[in-house]
Amino acid sequence: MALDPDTAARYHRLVLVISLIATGISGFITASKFSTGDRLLKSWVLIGLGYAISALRHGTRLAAYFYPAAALPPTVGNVLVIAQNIAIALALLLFVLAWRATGLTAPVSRRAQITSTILGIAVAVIVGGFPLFKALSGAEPNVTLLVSTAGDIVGLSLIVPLALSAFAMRGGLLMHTWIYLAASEVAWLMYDVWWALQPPVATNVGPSILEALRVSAVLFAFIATVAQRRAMR
Amino acid sequence: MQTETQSKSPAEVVREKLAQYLGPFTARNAVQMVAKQTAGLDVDRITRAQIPAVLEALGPTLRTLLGRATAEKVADEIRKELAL
Repeated sequence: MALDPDTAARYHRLVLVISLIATGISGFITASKFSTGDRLLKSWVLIGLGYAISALRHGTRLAAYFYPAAALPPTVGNVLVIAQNIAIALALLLFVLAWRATGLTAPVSRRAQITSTILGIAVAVIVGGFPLFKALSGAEPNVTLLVSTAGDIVGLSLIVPLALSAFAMRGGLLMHTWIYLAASEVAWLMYDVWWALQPPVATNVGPSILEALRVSAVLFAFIATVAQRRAMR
Repeated sequence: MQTETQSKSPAEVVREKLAQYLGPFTARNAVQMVAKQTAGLDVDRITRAQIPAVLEALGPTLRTLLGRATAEKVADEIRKELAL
């Protein structure tokens, strides 16, 4: 039996908030396993921060279903969206830079690496391009949409480098961390595509798929946080 | 009677330990890279006495990916296995 649209929206938001809280906390716990000066400390702090900010934003939206006064002012909401996008994009960029700093290489030719990375960036620009164009083309540029989309483009562009690092570490415990970070970005990519296209499917099914993709993206990030701790035991 | 560790070369001990974290491909590459850097030798010609220098050179990579504490734990386990 399908839920009515209102109940479905509240249920989806609840599942999302629980996933975000778990991922934020888990990100901070993982960060706490690193010492000051460790390269990935900042990355994990930013992952925890990004998802904690998102949990706060969606948590207040969930609360607003029951207590409308709990809703955040639009400006605060926009600032949180911007902060969350910057934190996650920066975290993933630091992961890729950390891998580069090790001097380790992926088991594919340099040419294949460059080609696949350029393809990844092209897909990211295509997917993020439409909202970016929308953000810039209005009479007053939409800064929130601009930063959010720019963050998406950076994150999505990093799918290939993250996946190549995971491929290089296949068979090792750390592979799981990197592959799930890449999987999280793939799920965000699919979320963005679904959101942009909004295929004409039955009532409730479209939003449900969108929510499923969003929760999957968050849970993949959660698994990455756990995988890193498992490797550090 | 030879123990399992005695039958392995020192480089193999390091490779196998690193492979648990980095996977066999990257573990092999990492050891090969530092063997060349530290001793200018092919990885399988590394002696037990050269392992501390190899571990020292592997330190930054391990610290980057696993954090300082785990990196030191891994290096200690290798030293212990090779009775260094």
